[in-house]
Amino acid sequence: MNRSKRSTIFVTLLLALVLAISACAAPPPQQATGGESAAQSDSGGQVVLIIPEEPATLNQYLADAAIVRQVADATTAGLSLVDQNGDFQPVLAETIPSIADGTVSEDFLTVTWKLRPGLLWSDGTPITSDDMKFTWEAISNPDSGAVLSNNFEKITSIDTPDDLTAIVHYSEVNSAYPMQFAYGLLPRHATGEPTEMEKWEWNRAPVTAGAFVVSEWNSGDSIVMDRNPNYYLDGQPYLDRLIFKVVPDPGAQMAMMIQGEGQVHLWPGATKEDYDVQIEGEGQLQEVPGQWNMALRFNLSQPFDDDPGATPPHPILGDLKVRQALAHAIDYDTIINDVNPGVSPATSPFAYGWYRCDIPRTYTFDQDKANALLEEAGWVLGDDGIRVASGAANAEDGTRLSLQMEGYTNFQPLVKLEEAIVEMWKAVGVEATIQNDDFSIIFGSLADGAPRKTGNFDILIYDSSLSIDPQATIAGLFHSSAIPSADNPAGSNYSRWVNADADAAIDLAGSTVDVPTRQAAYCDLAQLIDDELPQLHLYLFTEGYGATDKLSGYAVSIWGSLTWDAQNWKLSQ
Amino acid sequence: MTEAALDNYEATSLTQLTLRRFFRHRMALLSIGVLALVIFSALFAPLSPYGPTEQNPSNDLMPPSLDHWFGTDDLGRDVFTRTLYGGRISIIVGLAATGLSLLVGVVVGALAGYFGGWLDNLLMRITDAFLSLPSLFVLILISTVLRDMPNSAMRNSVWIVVVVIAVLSWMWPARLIRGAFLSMRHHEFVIAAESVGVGDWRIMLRHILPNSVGLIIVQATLSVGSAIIIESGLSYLGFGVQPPTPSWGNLLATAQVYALRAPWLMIFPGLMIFITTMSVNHIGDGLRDAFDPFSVR
Repeated sequence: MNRSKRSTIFVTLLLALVLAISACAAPPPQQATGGESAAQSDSGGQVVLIIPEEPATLNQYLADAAIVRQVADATTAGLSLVDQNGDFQPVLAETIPSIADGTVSEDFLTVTWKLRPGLLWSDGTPITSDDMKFTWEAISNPDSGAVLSNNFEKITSIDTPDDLTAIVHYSEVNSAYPMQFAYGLLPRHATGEPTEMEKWEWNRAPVTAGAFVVSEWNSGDSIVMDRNPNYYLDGQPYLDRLIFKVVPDPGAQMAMMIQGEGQVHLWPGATKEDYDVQIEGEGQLQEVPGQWNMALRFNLSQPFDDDPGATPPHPILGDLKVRQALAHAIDYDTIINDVNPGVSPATSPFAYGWYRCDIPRTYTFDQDKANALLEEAGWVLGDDGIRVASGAANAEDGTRLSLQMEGYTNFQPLVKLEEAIVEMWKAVGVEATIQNDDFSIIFGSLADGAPRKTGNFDILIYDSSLSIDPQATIAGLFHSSAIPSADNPAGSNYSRWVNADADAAIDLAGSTVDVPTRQAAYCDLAQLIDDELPQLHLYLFTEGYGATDKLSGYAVSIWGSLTWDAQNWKLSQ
Repeated sequence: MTEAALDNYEATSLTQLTLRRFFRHRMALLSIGVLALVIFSALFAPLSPYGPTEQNPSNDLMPPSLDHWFGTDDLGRDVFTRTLYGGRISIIVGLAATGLSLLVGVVVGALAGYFGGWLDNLLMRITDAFLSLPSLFVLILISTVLRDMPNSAMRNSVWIVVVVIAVLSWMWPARLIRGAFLSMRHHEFVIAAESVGVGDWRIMLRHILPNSVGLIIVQATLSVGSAIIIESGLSYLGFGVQPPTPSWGNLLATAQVYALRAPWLMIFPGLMIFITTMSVNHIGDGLRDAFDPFSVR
């Protein structure tokens, strides 16, 4: 018997075994214990975190893929953070600057930060205000490749009268000033030239102020982090080591959790009901309050024309009537109640937080209206039930009303949603195909040729979230100056939407710290988005982390990543 | 031999001998029947009262019943219908990818094994290079290249999947065939053929290749099942058969999420892969025995 035959027989037997096991009832129930109740723990130990993809970098300023922050937060400490209650807390700073203590000027244009005394980088070098200045110099350098600008461009200068004090001068109000240095400082002595930022060795082995320090990076396999001996909190972190294990296959991820080979499981992609049954006795899904906002992003510009700009219009989606028809054709109740039960409706990007704005949906489910709009827009039913152009505004006669919807792989609720929408659109004569890409493709950079950056797509479908101060993200997504291009590779107005009223609302929200004014401006923007449909918001869903019952000390936070509080984690022995 | 014996003697051709040996292999015959049933059921899938993408989300994850023989999936679609339709894709992918990888593998292996020397070195180093390529990165690369194709139908074509699987799997048959040619190159019947002036190509095609058929068939039968499984893996990387089009592979991949809550989602496509793979394997066994001149059946 040759080797390959032996392996086939083995695989066949294994398959039979899997079938047999899957046919059996669930394992006998055991007493499930919550993460907090397992607090019989000591310091030390290692935790394996199962992640579905590998981050390209740990430099949070270079990447906008969500996975980066989930991993990088373990090795990052900024001047401040937002805790699970939505409050700003100082980390490396002594306090959060405020008008009350005179560290913020009356016009909000000068902010003075004070570092805690005695802070050290992980290599033992003191952390100084000059590192804050360098962070600004690096991020605001247009050639740095920084994607997360975080309002650094609004800073005109930083004075460093002593090693612990940095006085930040702004050209205009930065409503998000408490978060200015929340994504970590860049050490001048251990990085490199700002123009070379994308090539820094630091990006994958950062000298850091965070709780953990990268000790090994095995590409495609794992990232190992050990306790930072110079962490600013005495005795913390409690754990000795974190191992981020890259496991793309959901089945293998679950098997690792069941067998106790993993202690934390990022984005399992299953409902709590399903997940808890599968790892009963080992752990459970810890749900983060609804944070992810699922939306369709229509490309209003011509794809595949080697021009990522806003013109010429998309042959199909460039017509507002078509977008309105697509919105009318979606049965939102079925999606929320039957396709992905447990989610809650969302009609705007501002679906939670202090900036929440609940506006009624303008284009409700109505197939007759959808059909009428499409006819009006010059799309008539073809022989096979799919519409073709006949007098459409931007498409040649005979063009088929066929659109490609692109999302990311390995997330079954997204696939279900896509499949449901495909059928709903088919009912009004719209053909939609699904193309799901690996994270590295769909969320890649302009240089990587990522579709959303190059504009080579019809419709994107994925979820996104907003932080405690949404200004930078919102300006990136909807301001006409943020359309991605060779000159502005960090731009994220992926719909290529140009609307002067929207620009004005965004500018207004960013020009003041007055909360009611900002909220009203965001609501105006939400209404414009719902009217013109560069994006169509569908629902909010909860994010989950699988966690072993042996882990304690963690707090799930709508504002934080998986590892935002890794310094507090404990593992019972 | 007596005259009476000579009268009773009936000349038997090689084909007749081969067929006789094959028809004595009961499992192979049974497997042909089973495989035919699978193929016919896939061909006649449109006779099902349900469409392969017809949804009823309020009727999701229903266990097998008289209305839905294999139950329903997470969007209330009929799993029986989707399994039948899925067979069309999976069988095409399994057979075509295997055929293509064998074609390349046999040509490379035969040339390397027969001619030896620098050609053998060159072809085997190319084979080694392909073997050492990390398939994940190759797939991501292919996916990125295909990404820029404006025509999504091209990118999601089953034939692209077939080519990708063949590109990643021709090396194993190539090495096997090379070994067989290398060993048979020095057998007496080859030397005899050479000595009477038979050309290289004729020796390869008419003398050595027929003697390697058993090996090739075994390799082919083993590859069919793995090609079906590889196809399901490709969809993870964003190309290949995209939902809502069913294939056994992507039905099985979706089923993972509901493994305990709705095991029928896993059982039926899994069973179809299992049955198909086993049938092809048994047919392969039968063919190998039939072609093997030393077979005692």
